[in-house]
Amino acid sequence: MDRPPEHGTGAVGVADRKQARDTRDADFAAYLAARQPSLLRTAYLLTGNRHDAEDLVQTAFAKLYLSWDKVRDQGSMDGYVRRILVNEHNSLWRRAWKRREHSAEDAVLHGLDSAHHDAHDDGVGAALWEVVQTLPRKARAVVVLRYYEEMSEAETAAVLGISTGTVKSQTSRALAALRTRAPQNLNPRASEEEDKS
Amino acid sequence: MSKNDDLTRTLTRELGDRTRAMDGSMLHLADVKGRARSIRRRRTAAAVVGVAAAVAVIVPSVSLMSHSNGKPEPGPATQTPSQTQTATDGQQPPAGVLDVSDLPTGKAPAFDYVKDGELQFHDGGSGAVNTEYRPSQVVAMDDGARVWQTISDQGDAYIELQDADGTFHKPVPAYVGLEVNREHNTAGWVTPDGQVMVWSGRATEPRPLGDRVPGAHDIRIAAILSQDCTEFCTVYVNGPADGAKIWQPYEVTDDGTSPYTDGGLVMVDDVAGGMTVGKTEVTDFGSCSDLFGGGEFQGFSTCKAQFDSFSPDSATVLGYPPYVDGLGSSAISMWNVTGDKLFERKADAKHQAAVTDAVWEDDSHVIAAVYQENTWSLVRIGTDGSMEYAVPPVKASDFDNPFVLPTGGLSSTS
Repeated sequence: MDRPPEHGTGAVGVADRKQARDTRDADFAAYLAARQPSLLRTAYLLTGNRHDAEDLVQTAFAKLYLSWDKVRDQGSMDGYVRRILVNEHNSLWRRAWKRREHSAEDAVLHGLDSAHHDAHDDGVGAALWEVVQTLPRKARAVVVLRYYEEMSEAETAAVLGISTGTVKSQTSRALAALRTRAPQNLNPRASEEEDKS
Repeated sequence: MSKNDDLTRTLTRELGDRTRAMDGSMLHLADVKGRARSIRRRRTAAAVVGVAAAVAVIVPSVSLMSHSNGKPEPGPATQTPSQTQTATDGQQPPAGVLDVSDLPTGKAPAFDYVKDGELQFHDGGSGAVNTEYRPSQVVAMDDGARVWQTISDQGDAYIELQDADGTFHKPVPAYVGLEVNREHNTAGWVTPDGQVMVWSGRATEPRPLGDRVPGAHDIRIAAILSQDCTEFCTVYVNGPADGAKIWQPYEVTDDGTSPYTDGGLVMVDDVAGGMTVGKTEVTDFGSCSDLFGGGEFQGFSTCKAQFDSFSPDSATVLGYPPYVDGLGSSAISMWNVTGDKLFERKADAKHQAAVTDAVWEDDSHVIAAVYQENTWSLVRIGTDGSMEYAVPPVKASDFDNPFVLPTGGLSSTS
């Protein structure tokens, strides 16, 4: 077989593709650096610990990377990666894999998380946070999107791929659970009434 | 101010406070690209092979029994299942819907399978598995021997051979993946250094086939073509490829190992009856597949399904969606070899069913392991789309699939 030419259109094509790939990677790396902290915070609220949050963020960015050209052309990167993040967290596949990862490292990281927050918490918020973490995944996602991301019901519905009616009902049920299961002093009105009396 | 206003304000403040410690950015482009590569590989794995690999690691905690010399009790000759005659309850879901929550109950599978770590014989008895590690795949050989793929607690895959008299060979490391030819006289797998191994139950030891398959990771066996591998053997495997192609199929024979180029496939899924099914294109959002054969047979192409396996009579092919992710496949379909879709059933918002494995029981039925709403069941699905329980639902979480179905389905002795 003849050797392919080492210059000419073929070689130029390879160089062009490499340059395009490098440019693409540079764009993605810039986006990664800019958006990672924000996404990590949301992931932490969904997962409840830093280790899982970082893993979740890595997967979300990896899926974004695979679709980068298409998503970037549509200018919808933020919404896309956030949707991946939340749905990945809710997915059966991920739960199946994560449930078998009960490493000592996790336990240490859980401990570090708790210790850190308890140190600068008045106790009331910590109790509320504990109740939030016991909510079912989808309900917790609704709470995080509505009350941390401060998304509207419609925006939350779009991210989760559910109807606004479902968002309303899940929000209502989650708040009811928080009211019922959180300590009484979490209800500011109840606290005020106690102060008055 | 309402109670909800107070609560939500506290909630918003608390959630914000919780995230203040989450500073620092540790992910780099290389980390993301590495994860992307592994996602891409998983997405492009054949549905059942990929799912089986995942389920292999999440099979229940089977009690780790020591080897014994107990005969594997292969049971009497083939039973012909009678689906509708024994149906006692339940009903068919609407056409097109994959909902296995309330089906009629039919006969037990016509082959032996594993449930909750115990072998369930098709004639009603049960017995110990006796493998050293947890079983994830099993092949029933025509002489009563068995080949097990097992997974250690560390997640490493092994092959455990069990002779017809029940004696086990020492477990040997392998890639995830185990296949058997249609005659069930030869099983095959790939060792971690890329060597295809074949074992005919009557032979004493497995033998290497061809040259080592190139690539350092993730080599998956797809099909064993030969009727009798003691004379000449042909095996198809999918290995890693550079660049956008991801997978490269290889034909491995007694003459050597070479890239398989027929049909321009990027991945072989099954070979039988002079026909091949495989993927011609794989993207991040789907795949396209071809069925082709020799002579004047035209075959067909589609981007609406990927194909898993031919029926025993090679008249029908089992399909899954072109993109499979999650716990398992959210749809299942069957096609004839000229490209007509016989049926397709899909999970919907109300019925979140997932098929994790399916094997042919006879020419017109598969037995599928299906998860839905905290239960697992074995469902007999016909070429007409009808469904019934072969094993009714048992409560178990999504990561506790209690079933291991026999790869390649029925052997002549089971």
